[in-house]
Amino acid sequence: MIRPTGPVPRRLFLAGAAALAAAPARAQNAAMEDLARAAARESGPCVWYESSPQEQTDRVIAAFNRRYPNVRVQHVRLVGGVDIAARMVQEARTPGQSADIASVSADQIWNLNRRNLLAQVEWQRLGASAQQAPVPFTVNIAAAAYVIVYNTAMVTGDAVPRGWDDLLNPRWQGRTGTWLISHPFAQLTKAWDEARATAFTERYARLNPMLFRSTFTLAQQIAAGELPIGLGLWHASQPVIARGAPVALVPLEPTVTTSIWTAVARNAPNPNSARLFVAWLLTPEGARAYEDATQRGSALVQGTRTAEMLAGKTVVEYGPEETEVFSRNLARFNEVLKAGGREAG
Amino acid sequence: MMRRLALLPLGLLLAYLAVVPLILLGLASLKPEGFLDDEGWTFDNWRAVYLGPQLWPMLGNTLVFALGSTAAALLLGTLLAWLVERTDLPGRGLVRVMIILPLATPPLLLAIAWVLLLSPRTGFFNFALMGALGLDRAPFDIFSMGGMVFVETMVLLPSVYLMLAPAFRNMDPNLEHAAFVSGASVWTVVTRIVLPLLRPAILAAAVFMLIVCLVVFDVPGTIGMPVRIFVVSSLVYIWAAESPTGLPLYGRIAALAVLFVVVLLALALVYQLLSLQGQRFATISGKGYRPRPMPLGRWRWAAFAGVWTYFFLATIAPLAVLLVTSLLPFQTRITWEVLDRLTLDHHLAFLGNPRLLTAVRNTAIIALVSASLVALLSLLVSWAVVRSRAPGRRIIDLLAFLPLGIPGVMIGVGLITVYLTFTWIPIYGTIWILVVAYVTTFLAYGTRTTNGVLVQLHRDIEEAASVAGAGYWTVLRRIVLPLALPAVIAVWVWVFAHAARELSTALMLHGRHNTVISTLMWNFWSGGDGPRAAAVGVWLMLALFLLVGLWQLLVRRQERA
Amino acid sequence: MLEAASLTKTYVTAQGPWRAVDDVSFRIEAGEFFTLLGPSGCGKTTTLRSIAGLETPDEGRIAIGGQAVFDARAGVNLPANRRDLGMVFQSYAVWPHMSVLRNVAFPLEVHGASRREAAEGARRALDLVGLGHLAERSATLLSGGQQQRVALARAIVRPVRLLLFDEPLSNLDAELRIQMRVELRDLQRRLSATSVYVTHDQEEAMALSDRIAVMRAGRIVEVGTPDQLYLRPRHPFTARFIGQAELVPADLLRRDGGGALLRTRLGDIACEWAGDVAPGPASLLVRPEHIELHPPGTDGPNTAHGRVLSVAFLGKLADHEVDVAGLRMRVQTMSTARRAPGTEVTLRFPPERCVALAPE
Ligand SMILES: Nc1ncnc2c1ncn2[C@@H]1O[C@H](COP(=O)(O)OP(=O)(O)O)[C@@H](O)[C@H]1O
Ligand SMILES: [Mg+2]
Repeated sequence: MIRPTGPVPRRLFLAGAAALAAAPARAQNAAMEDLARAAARESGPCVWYESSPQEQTDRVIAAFNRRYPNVRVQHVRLVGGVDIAARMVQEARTPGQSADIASVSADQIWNLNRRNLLAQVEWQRLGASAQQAPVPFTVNIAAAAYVIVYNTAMVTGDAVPRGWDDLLNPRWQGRTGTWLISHPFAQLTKAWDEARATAFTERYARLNPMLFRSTFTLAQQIAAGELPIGLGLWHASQPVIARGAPVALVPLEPTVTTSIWTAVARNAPNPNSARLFVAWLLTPEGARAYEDATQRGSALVQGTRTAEMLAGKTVVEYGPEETEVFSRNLARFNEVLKAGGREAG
Repeated sequence: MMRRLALLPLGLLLAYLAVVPLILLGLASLKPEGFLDDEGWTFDNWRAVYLGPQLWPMLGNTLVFALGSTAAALLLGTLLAWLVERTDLPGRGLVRVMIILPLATPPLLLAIAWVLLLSPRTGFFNFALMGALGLDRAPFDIFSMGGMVFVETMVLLPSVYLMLAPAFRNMDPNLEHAAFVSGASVWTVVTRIVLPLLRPAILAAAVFMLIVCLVVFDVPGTIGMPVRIFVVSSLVYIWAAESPTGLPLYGRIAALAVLFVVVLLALALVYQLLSLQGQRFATISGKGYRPRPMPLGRWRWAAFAGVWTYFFLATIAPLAVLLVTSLLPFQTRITWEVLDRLTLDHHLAFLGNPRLLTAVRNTAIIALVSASLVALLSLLVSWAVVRSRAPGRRIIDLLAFLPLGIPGVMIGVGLITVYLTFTWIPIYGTIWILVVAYVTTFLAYGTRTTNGVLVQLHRDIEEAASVAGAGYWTVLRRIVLPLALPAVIAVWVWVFAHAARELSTALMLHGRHNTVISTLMWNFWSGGDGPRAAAVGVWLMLALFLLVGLWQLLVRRQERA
Repeated sequence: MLEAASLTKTYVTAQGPWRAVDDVSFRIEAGEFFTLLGPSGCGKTTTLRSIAGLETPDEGRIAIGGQAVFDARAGVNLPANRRDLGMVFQSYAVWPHMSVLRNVAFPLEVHGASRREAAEGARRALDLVGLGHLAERSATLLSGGQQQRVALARAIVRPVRLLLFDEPLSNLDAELRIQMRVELRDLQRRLSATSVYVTHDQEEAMALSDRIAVMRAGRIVEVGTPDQLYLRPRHPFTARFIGQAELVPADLLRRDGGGALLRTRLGDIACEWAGDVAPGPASLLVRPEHIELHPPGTDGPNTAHGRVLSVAFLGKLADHEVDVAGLRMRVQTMSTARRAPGTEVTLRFPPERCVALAPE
């Protein structure tokens, strides 16, 4: 087995209301200016691995370049966090081939750090809050929140769901769907106790939910009328809603989220550009630009829609340092979902 | 002597293309997390795969899916190839275009089109039938093993057709005519003369399709997985893209891939045995032959009706659904009412995409180069395998076939590792790494097709040329190539279409400089924009339609001359 | 037995329509061996395949044994498998995936014979063509001549109404060709099978046929027995195509009875036979072996003076090249009677061997 080589982090991330770190603004601005000058001297472009469609990240980079016109950032889209993590591991063997920035989920960032592939940065000197940058190797730039997605033409009246328990209504037998991976269910163990989360997942599985490869597909299927209801992600449902599909979302209490953790590669060819860009993503301007483009915002930055939506909610999520526990849960819950109604007989 | 010398570089090239990923596969399966730079060695992955609980329960599904799809595609594909290439079926030119048309559509989209047609809740056909027959339940459920087999059959059929058509076309028609004059019925001619004669080609297609069915994921992932029908390739997907540990389980995938490779080797061996026993039939003789269609007589219009019913159901309907979907604001059940909501937005968005030009250029270069390389290499490999008596020729054939058994993910991982190591071949992140990947994987298809045709060539034909003083390359260029041309062109078109539509490899190897059309499509698709992805599919289809139409025009011109 | 009337077949090619067969008509009696003879590309195969039902003519009618199997007007077109024929293909078309025996047994099997009956019948047919000992051999392991015999056995294994042959001997070496020619003729006599044979080899046609149809460019030029076509052709094309011919430009002065008087550079020549020719430009046909050489000064009708230019010794025969009034003519004699180069001679053209034909 590979031993973790990175610094063992403190307990990282507590969900809850956002609070800005009180870093002296002037020092922070000066640090950013220095960084921007250094970044402009790098050959670039600074490569950012992230899994949003390029149409979306184009807008983020455009916003960044309005503030820092001389720093080039190129987004390369890989399919998902797992791919990005794998690519980072492989590229580490060849100097100069590495991407500069990676945006992935908690378990992936944990693995990358364990393999000593991430730069340790004093993010708070660049203006990050303690919640945004609980450890030196990564920052939390945004989160995706799980919600109930339903088709308003098919689900009306008292059938309209209000919370977790409404997902288990027998009327959805064979007519509901979710992501193939049991992410939201595995996260629930953090809010409820293990037994309750397991019981919940088993009951849901007995409804024989359809399991989709992506929550975008789930939202499409609900929009198309294939299913009346499902457990999906807020941002993944926005495209169909924007196009006028009869789809509505119900936020949940507690809310389960998946945060996007972003880090600079240890041997990034353009380390200053990378730091500058990531630090900018943490500013209100950057966070809003990212949220506007990808529909995923940071609850840790005031003024974002995500912060508004999650205000007053209990937000639960396993942090990077809890990866081992989380992975075990996830594998177990995956099997529960895959078994569907079979065990119930 | 010349022949042996020519074999050597070919062997080396194939070894490079096939053996390198294979070795990396072996190494990865023995590394704790499947990365070459992991420390230490372990059998954990093997244990997890073969002693773990996940693999074996999926084997039953996998067999049903692979055997079912292969058998159905082979049956229908052979029938179509025979009807089109050997009979006086009316409108054959158009039929050829129609068969190939779905080839350019990414199977992902095709599967979605079929969901829109046959889903029990939203399927157009289901609703039409329920309305027409007064049923109160949907007659079809696409989300089933039957649905998976059906859609995979539709996906594979053009490939089967393209593999077999050249062999059919090349067969000396007098072999059929002799039986016909002897008093045999059309059925007897087909079952006792045509099929046995083409057994090598049909077997080759069968082996190829079986392996493909073992490895493919688009259809099982879109149709089977939502309702918990898992096949072995679903495991590969889950371990690669959704591993619960945060890093892909390349080690396990590699260990599993060894199973694929073993199955492939076994099938290839069985194939070689069978086609040795049954000899290889030289059905193209040097005697002036002029293929002339076999009259179907009173079956002619029945066959015509059958073929077009098939096209309507299998090609026109799903492609029409894709077209309509691409014109809808969001994916939805197809009813007459949606016609009021049609919009060109998605097409305009696709055409106005700032990356479109780059993507089209990249795709065109990749498709052209891959298609040409595969066509050329296939011809060389087949010629060496079928004709030369050099020792390693069997191995060369296997080398060309092997990569088919390696899941695309692992080819991708292998190539990434190789070109991150050999940085003096600077193709990492460029379109050329995609070309290498496509040549590696598609060569299996190419060589199966050209093998089938070259075994038909009478040795005399080449020997006559050699005796006339032509050297190795002259014989190849002036004699073998022209005779094998229908097959070589079929390979070219197939690879072109597949290289243009290929998604998972393109995504796997996506880097700074190699955006292609299918990755653009994926951008739309995974961004929640199914209809916009469908729009890309429509344009891919249109491009292939033009290409195939042009090809058919040339063929017809050539046939007349 | 077989009647073909006004067969026409036009192929559409890149260069426009092409009449491969153009208004071809003929009749064949039962038991007759009938040959279509002509240079390659003249439409023989197309005609034969039309009879077989493998090609559909645009116009015309074909009747076998009084039954119309094809009639463009009446819309009759019996498929090949119901015409009750045997056919030998130029490429043999021996099925490589079957043994010799199964190849030959095939026609019997598809006509409902049991496997055993079929095998017995096939053995008999193989014995007839002298291949009985190879019955179990795989068809791919045969020499050209053996394959040819297999194809033949397959064609005759059933009693059929009509046997069709498409240049069956053209792929064999010269010696084998002559041997097979004899065997084929014997076999046909023994079975008294009505046969249509296609070849471009005039010797083969002469040796085998009861009657020959000479074809050119899709049309039948003339039909006759080998004897008639050799000695008394009606058309200069036939004269040239069959045997060796000396054709001398001439003027036809008058016709008398079956013959004619020609004026040529050799002098006036009386012919006892005239083909389709009217007074005016014509040509004189005389075969080299029919020209007599006499000592110089021999006089009489149908003679001319000449000088030997060269001689080729062919063994039994000798070929002379003789200069006659500025014309170079070939004269063939027994080699014992050959003349030395430079010798002055008188040539005699026997009237019974001279034919007046239309100009070439
Ligand atoms: N399918 C065809 N398409 C076009 N032209 C053809 C076809 N079959 C035959 N021909 C032409 O018709 C003529 C007669 O052909 P064929 O009957 O095979 O001649 P033969 O057997 O006397 O050599 C030839 O000029 C040939 O090129
Ligand atoms: Mg011919």
